[in-house]
Amino acid sequence: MLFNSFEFAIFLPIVFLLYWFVFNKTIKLQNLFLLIVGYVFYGWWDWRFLFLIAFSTIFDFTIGILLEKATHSQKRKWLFAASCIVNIGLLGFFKYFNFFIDNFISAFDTIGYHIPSVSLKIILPVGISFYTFQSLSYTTDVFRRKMKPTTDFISFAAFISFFPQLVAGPIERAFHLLPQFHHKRVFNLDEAIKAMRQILWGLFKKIVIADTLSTYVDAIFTSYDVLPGSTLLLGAIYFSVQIYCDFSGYSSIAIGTARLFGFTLLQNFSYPYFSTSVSQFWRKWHISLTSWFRDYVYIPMGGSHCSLPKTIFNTLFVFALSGFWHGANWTFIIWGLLNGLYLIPNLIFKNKKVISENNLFGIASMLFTFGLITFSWIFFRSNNVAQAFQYINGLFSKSLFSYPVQHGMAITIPLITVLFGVEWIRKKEIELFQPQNIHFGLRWIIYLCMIIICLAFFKQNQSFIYFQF
Amino acid sequence: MKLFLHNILKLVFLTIAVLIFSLFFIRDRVAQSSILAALPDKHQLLDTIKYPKIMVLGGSNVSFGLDSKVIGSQLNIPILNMGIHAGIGLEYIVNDIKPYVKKGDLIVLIPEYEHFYTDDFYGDMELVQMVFEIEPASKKLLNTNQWLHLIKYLPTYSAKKIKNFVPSLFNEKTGIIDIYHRKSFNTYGDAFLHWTLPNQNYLHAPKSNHIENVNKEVIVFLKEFKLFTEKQGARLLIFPPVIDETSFNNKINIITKIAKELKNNDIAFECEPRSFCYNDSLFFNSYYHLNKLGVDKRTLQLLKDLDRLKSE
Repeated sequence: MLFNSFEFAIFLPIVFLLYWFVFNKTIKLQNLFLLIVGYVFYGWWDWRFLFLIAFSTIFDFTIGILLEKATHSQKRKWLFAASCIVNIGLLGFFKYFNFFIDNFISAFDTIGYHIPSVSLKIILPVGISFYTFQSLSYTTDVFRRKMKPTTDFISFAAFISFFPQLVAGPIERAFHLLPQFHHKRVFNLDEAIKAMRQILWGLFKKIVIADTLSTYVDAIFTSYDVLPGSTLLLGAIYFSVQIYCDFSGYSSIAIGTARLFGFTLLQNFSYPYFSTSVSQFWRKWHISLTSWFRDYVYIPMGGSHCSLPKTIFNTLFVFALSGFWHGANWTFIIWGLLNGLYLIPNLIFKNKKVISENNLFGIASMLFTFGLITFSWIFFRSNNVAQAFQYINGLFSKSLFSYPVQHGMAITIPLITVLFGVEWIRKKEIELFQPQNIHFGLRWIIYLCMIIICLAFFKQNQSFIYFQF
Repeated sequence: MKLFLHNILKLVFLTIAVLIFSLFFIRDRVAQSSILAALPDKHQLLDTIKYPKIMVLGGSNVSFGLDSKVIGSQLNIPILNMGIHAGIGLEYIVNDIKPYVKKGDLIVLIPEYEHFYTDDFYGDMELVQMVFEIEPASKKLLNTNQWLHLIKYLPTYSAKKIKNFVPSLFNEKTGIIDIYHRKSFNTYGDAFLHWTLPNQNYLHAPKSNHIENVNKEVIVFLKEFKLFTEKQGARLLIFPPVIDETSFNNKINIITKIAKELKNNDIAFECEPRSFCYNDSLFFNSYYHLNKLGVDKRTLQLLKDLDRLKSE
């Protein structure tokens, strides 16, 4: 069930009313209801994968309890290793099996040995990368004694299958979200109103901006071989904005929806395109994943508290891994590595100075950072590495200085201007779209206009980019 | 909570009121000149055409993919290409021409593959546009099931009308006729403006998966239509659509299922789907839209088939 679908528009109010009016008597009832709702929501895509999520839940719940009971550190390590193997194993099988097999076969092909293809028709369960990481964060935190394991299975299962963030995050830490399932939620009017505004802004970003841009991005990335460099540049910029609006739009809807049910989720984006350096960008982009990798991979590897070559290796490794997390394709790995490479000068010169974006140098740095990030998105968006290089080759040709072939600039430029204009004005605020200080009548007109505009731009079956991960 | 629900309901009702107003009182000037608006023009042609005749039914695969004049003159029968847009739904495409079916007519039905396994059978946004803007009288052709499928498109369509209406207040009519314009058809009902244009890049059909299955309702509907045509003394021939090779291979699973299902129900395609799978270079801007070379090839192939079947 997509957030931007007719089904969800029916589903959400029903669930909301049942949650607050029927199942609000006890925490147990609230959690049980959320668990059922999570499974219905997930089963809407493919009910068969409910068994997978149920297995993952039961397994990690059991590991959590056994970790608490285990006194020997060796036994604890074994239990934790089992959790890692099972979670990463599931992810590896469903997401990476064919990738490894195909690459293994090609590698043998290059040295003259032909191995017949054994690719399996594996369907990738929606959101598997997200919920396995969430589940893994629980066992990791229990293993590190950062939190006590829960003995309440229902609340743990509800935590894993919490529908607003089940399929594309934000990837929640157990110590942040799980305790919220242990307290009875009470309706808060102020929070609910803010949540609705957040959902509306998220829908606007996804339906109006991201989906409009996607039409042009798809067209440009399909015809990249015949288009001038200027249009390819436009395509890359469009994709930068598209992926941002698509994913941050999704995150806004997810966080807003969770708020409607009395939960606070982690912030996932913080105006990333106003970053004046790549390192700042990565503190503001997909925050929940970046911090996951930082806390569970980068820091345990030694992070930046080791020799310079080791720090560079750690950085590149984590970024390559993060790219690989996105998908079983070399394009993602190169995208990750490229972003890691961007950070190396910072590591060498240990430059921690934050450039203000409010002066000319700051704006130039911001545009330069945007350029670097946009360049890396070309790999992310391309179907394969060869296409990415051909695209870049076409981009940096003489035709870069020609006038771009019209690709909806009459509509896209105003939309992008509105987006960045609103964000620039509100960049100091955590809550972007909260027009509570505007006169009541005008505020309602804004709401109404936004709903009508969303409906007018709405296209059926426009999935979110991050659902494929 | 009461205040929250009260405010939400107020906003919902306000939105619904605006949408209803738009649906019934705002004129969609974009629709008036769109490809869909060619349907009443084709009805007018149907009123004047002699019978027995050939009516070719389908979506844009048909409208963009035939030179009906050649078929008509070779077979010496009046012919009209009734193809408009697959989005108005197979059910509507067929029900729309029922009043025009006369004794001796040859009905050549070329559904697009999506009609068999997606909601395209019932129609989507294009059908909403058709029944609210182009041919309001044709609402009576829609059954309850179709309405149920169309409900989800109503809010979007109403909002789109507002979106189209606002700029139309400031834009003067340019008089430019593009390939999707009402006037892009010749007197045989063929869209022909693209015949002189170069190919454009387009996306191929995505790979079909094992979950896709033929909608049984489509089969029942086609069987009933076959009986109807026989009752009228007409003849129904069902052909596969023409499709590019890449898309054909991507869709091979579901195409095989469709062909098998039709055969099992005694309404088989008149030829193998693969015979209408053409090289990608013969397509203009979609895996269903032929360029002129493709149109000529398909016309000759269909002509040959019709000639053979006519004498059977």
